[in-house]
Amino acid sequence: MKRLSRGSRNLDAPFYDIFDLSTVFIISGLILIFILWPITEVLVKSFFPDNKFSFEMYRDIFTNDRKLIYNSLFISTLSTIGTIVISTIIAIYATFSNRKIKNIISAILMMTMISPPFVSSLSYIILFGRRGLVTHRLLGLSFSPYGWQGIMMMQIAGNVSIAALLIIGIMSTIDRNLINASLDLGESPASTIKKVVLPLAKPGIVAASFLTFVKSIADFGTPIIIGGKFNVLATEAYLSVIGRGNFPRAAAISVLILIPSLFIFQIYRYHMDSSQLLSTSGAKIQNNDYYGFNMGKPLTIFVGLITFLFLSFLVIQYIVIFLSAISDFRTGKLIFTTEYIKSVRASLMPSFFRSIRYSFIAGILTSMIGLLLSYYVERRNLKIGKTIDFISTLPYIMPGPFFGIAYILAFNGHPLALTGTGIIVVLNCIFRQIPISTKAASASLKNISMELEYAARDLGSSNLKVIFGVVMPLLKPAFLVSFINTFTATMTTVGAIIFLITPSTRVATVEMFNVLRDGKYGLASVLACMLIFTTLIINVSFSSLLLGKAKISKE
Amino acid sequence: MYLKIQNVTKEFDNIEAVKDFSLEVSEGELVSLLGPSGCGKTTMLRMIGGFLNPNKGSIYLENNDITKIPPEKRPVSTVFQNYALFPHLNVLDNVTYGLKNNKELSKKSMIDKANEMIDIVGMSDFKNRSVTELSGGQQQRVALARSLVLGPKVLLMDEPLSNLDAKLRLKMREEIKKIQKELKITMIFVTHDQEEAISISDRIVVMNKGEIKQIGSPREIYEHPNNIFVANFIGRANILNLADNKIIVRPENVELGYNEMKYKGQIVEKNYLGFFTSYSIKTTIFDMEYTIFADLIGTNKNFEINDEVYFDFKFMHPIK
Repeated sequence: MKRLSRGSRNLDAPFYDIFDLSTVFIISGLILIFILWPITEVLVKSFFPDNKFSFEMYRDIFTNDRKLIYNSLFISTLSTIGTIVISTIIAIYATFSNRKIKNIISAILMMTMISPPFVSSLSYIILFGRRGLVTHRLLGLSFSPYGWQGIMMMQIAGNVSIAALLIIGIMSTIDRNLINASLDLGESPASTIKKVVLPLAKPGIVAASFLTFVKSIADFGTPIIIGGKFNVLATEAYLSVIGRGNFPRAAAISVLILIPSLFIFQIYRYHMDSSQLLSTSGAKIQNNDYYGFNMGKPLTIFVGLITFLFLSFLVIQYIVIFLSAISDFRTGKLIFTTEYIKSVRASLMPSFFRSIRYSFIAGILTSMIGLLLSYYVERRNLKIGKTIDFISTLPYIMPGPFFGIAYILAFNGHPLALTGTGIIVVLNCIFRQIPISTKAASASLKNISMELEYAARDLGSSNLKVIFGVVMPLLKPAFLVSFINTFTATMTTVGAIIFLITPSTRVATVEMFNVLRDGKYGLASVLACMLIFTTLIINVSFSSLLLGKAKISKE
Repeated sequence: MYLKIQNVTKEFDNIEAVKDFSLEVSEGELVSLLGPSGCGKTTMLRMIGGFLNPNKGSIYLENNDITKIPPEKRPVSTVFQNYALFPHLNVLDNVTYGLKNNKELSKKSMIDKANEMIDIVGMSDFKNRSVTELSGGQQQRVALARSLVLGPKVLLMDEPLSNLDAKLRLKMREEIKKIQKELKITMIFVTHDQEEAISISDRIVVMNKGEIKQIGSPREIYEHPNNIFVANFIGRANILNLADNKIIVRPENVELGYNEMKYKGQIVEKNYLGFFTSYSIKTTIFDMEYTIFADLIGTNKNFEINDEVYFDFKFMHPIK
């Protein structure tokens, strides 16, 4: 920390040459055009449905669709609570297990992080649906599993992974001596968890709650697939656009979805500020070679059992999808078949390759923009730096449909008519992930001493040489993190881009959503396997690159 | 004058980090900027290096105004506190880094120059090592070579020894001084360590809260401090109020004994510190109460707490 505050944190001249000036101009322009403008369009459209100011859209929703608002809040709240309870339990178990078990748990959780959405819904229907393997074939039942309980379960299944990984991340930084001190002072293991571990893990828990809530309130796919008659705001927004082309209504619903997210985000920020101190001081003195925290038998069994059950559920889910991709059990027996693979090859391969192409482009461009953006915000005395930085983080709190609808509204005509093109899909994915890529780069930059830049300049390097010869090579790890994240997100996203997809720009996740909705579970399974496999390969290979670089970036 | 800093002021967010700083440095001189953290010494150094622009004032090098010249074009080089070696380059590549920006040098003469300088700082055996594998002292040498190889007109060093352990700090201090004298480099050296400043400098600039408190040779600064801040910052000082004057007495200039002397007091504290023992004596001089510090070298005289003792001042210095 000290070295950053010496003299000044920034170079005195924000602009050295034409390169600086044009880079900042271009990046600021991009942020304004592709983040601020679309968001403004949604607000404008919802209040000016026919180019005249009116509350009509909102009035209509509040009088005729109050049930939807209630349903949305109900399901998101329940999903969030369920997700947080389960993921906190898993985090406690993982944090205090030995390294091997912790790695296995993390690996299984990572699998869901890189899977397309609806994987849980898909396996759930295959197992328990109207013609489900378990319910119908084995038990001879024919009941309907559709309804809010299903949505809640599927959202929990989908969100626990990221929530648990976030909480594990924070919990692992807690200094073990604090736990030992608490035990030493006579607290039982259970109350040590309650009074020491959970309060110190609060930043992680709060962040996870926020993410889960936003994802869950923005989720329209799960209710459509297994909600049956149970509808939520997000589904209504989707149907307003896709079914009826009623954009003002969709805009108004998007705003309504955004409001609780903003509210939760404020709580999140409030908590992050006050407890940040704790987590960072804990991180400094971590000593995690020691995992001798004995929680006592009953607690260990309880926590372990829940973790085991949930992880088994995740593993079974993947086995089911894999099996249903290559076999047919409609007759009650498992018969190997290549029927689904053939039919995917016949019709869906272009979408799959398009997904990969879009993800690569988005990954590279997002990382480049994110790195340059964070460099100029962190290292130069830009007057507009803070504003641009703030605008660039907005997509992080935007529910997917909001950001998708925002793009249709902003880019369906003059001056930038992009709807229907592949460019709009890629742009949407890029700017959706910019916040994460910027944060990764900023975190790396904080570890690269300003003195390195001073030194390079001092030794006679030009501005360009400093940026591309010294700063960027040292940011390679951040570039890779950002690339992996954007690639994975783009490969697996549906929420925002489904509004922007036309037949000529279909991507694999949207195809998967469509075949799933049509009840073609075998095809959906094949697509799911292909997506999982691809993201897995990219994640593993790029992460190993990252680990190789870790040594250099340390200094 | 070789390097001339004239009435330089630097503000950050309306707070003056450096106020009206003026200094003249002759060629081959080693001048230290000394002061507590936050006194503006690093900010001043950054302005000489060209990383920060003064709000007011000018900097001249050999009578040329260099105030506005960017660091890459300034014939001034800095050795940074954390050395700022490029972690993705090895020792030789770090040292040739700056030479590569000189288009006129051939590759061979570049490497020859670098090797020569690496030799001078005693790092020949580590030429192809990654800089991340080096110890703090070795990194320091590479950083020094990387700057010196460019033949800067002024070498700036920003707390270069603060990251080294005590023994190594002494060794590097002497080596830096030796290299500086050998190559006759003009050097500005920033430190908060008074002993370091006294041992290495030709002249010391003592700073506090952005202002120069005193400029002088190490002896002048220690023995004739101009004000209480300097007296207290460089070593310890007993400060006595006599009429309108303040008198400074260094603890080692206090004579102590059981036999009658000018003043009388009682020992209230005793700290054994190895080669000397430090006593605190409670006393009243001209109706004012003081706690006088006395440092006694060796152990031939030994006093105990509560002892009634006599004392006198061997050397006093009035402050204007």
